[in-house]
Amino acid sequence: MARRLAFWLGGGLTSALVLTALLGAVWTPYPIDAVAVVERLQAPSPLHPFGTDQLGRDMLSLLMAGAGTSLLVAAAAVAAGAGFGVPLGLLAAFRGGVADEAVMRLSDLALAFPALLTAAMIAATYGPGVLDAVVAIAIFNVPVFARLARSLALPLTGRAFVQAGYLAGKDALGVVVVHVLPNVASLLVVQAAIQLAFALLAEASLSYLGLGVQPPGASWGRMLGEAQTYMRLAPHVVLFPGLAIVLAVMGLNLLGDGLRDRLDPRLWEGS
Amino acid sequence: MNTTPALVLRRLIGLATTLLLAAFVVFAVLSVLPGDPAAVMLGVGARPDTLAALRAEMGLDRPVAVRFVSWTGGLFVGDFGVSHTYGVPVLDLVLERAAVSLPLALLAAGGAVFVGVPLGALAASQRGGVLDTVLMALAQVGIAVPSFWLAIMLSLVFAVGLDWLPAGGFPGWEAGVWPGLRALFLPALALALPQGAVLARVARSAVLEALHQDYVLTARMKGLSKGAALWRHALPNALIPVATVLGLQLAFLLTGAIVVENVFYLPGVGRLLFQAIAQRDLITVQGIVVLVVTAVVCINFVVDLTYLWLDPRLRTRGA
Repeated sequence: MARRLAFWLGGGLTSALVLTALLGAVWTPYPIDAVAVVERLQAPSPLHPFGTDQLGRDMLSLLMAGAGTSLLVAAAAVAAGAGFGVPLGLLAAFRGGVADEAVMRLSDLALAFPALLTAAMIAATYGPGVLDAVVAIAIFNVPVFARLARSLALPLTGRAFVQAGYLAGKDALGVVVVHVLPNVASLLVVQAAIQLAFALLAEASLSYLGLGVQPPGASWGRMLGEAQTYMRLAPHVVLFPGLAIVLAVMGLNLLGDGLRDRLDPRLWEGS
Repeated sequence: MNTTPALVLRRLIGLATTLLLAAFVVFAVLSVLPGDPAAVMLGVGARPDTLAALRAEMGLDRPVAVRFVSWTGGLFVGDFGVSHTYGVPVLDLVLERAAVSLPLALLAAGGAVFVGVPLGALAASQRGGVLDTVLMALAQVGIAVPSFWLAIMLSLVFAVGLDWLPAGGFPGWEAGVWPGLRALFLPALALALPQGAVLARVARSAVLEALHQDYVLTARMKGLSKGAALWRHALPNALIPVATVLGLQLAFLLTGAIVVENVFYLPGVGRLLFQAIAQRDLITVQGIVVLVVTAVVCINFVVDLTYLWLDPRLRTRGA
């Protein structure tokens, strides 16, 4: 019962996040660059339900625009991580030998670089920017997907339906795409939801530190970084962006957990 | 190749390979990829002769292979180069700042265990009950909270609002252990609570699994109460997965400390890293990244070995 509730709560929160991001991309109550110094640091009111920030901008509009940025950065990083990681993991599982060893060593290497350090290195060389964040988070995601795809595909290599694929004249690529991928896809999707939550957190941290989204782009992490100095005068400027991050991450985590409960046959028995 | 020494040797070779490759990647990103560090440091409009002089001073006029070998060779003897901004060896700078960052990460790890493990065990003991549901819901929220935001909120409440603890800065250990710990308390708490939430979930499922084992059932049949069987028999065995996760969390805590240090203006490795980025002090950035990556890789290696030591079945599988 509690699990089902958690799943629906996760789905609801994630849908709300996506809808807010989509709406924020086409419409916000106020323009996000509408600076009005006389209206700075106003507490929440009917005109500004989440108050205004240190430049007098409407916090609700910034949060709506920030949802899109945060989600886009996180989704791009996870998609890139999966895009490179899954083929590498499948290659390791089906080729074995040197290819397997190389993929595993490379994933050890990538895991040794926390996203923060990669972003710091890129920022030090090329200057800070949103691409730093995407690349850094993607690099950390590649080994996660490679290892998962490998471990899911490995038991399938000797299965009859895979062998039948070869006998039917398909080459290794054909077998992997037609027979293996559909069998491992559901759990990869579950992992993607969980990695998306992690990527959102990482993007927020990087943007907070100034290594991610740059002005004039809106991002929840950057809102926190810029507003921190004013928290004594107007606590709402740090409260709402943080709550937005918590709700978004929690939604994705709950959705990922719920999907795993439903899709992972390994969890079915005894549950 | 299934004996323990052979396995340990294999892991050691893996460790050395990863570290060498990591050093190469760091060197490649910061020194070889398109982009001239000297030009970046001097900014646009630098005079060609000044640029050439700085390139020579930084050793950038030497062939790439020579630079890599000399830099990596230096790493082995603790020579990480000299910071361009501070004019002191990078290693000295980092070690000085580690006096803040390491205690912070360790305090946070201790706090995460102190909060997470008992609550996880408590939830397991009440499986399916109200307390279990409430604790696991709290853990779900805790996992979603970014530690830097928690740090901001804690400082807003306990430093700005109630004035119980300092809102930032570090008096230095020379000022005494107590003032130092007071300055690290809120940052450590901000790091500890989200990781404690992760540990609580791990501890709960590990205790639940242990509760179904024969030795716990035997203890119960011998007349031990449910609580005593849980705390005396199930929990100690459940600590194996908890220790593994904690080891992996240490790596997260190290980088988490970098972020939280910036919230509390703590003069740790994280602040040093961001000052170095702002000042384009690439040799310092390079040194910090290599040291933190080494720490992460070594922590994972120790976790691996601990796992091998705690779970004898792995030794014969050649995993």
